[in-house]
Amino acid sequence: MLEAIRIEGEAFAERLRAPEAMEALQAFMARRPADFSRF
Amino acid sequence: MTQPAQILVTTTARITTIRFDRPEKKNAITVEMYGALRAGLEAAASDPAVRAVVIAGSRECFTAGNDLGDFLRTAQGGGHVTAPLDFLRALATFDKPIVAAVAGVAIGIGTTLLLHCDLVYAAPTARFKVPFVDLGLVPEAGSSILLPALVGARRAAQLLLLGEELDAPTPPPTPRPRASRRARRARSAPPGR
Repeated sequence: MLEAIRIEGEAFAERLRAPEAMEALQAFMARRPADFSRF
Repeated sequence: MTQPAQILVTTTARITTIRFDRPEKKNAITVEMYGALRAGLEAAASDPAVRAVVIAGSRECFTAGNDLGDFLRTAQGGGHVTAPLDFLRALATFDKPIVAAVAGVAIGIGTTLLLHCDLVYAAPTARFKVPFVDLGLVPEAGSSILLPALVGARRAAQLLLLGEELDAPTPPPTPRPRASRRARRARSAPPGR
């Protein structure tokens, strides 16, 4: 289980730095729908 | 300035209760709160007088999950925050019973942490959601393994791939009234029927 948590954690951190997550988070903070159409 | 704790840890009658206490943000978990959660678990683990842990939120909300402002700052900083993983490791290796009490929303890690608990009691208001896909993220806390094992592969896919919500299960009708109704019917029927 610890290995699964580690692997998921690495993937999670990688995705968190990706533009899709940035758009989703910025949209949430701005209280607007996320626009994923450019990805 | 020191932040308020926002995680309340109390021990009574050999049970440690760890409670989310940030109601103004639906108990969203900050980096500091992850540290307090881990510290609470480690203190309970090392205290031989403690026999079990309860994790709870408020009557209105369990937790809305990770504080997304923290997420955004981490993403913009290009950094890597270890506090959530440190908490998850402490949770996954905790060797005393963990009981969760859930009312209201349990989102993201608010749901995935429950997969590591021995017992989860959900109020009728409880709602579970793991909307990682909506944020361009992936499952965490071992949920890609634990959730299919718990609810089956297809239901887990609905939750993880589609971000669907799961309500607290509706209790089935109690067998006693149904049995009583049948008994009354049988009593009123003529012999032989």
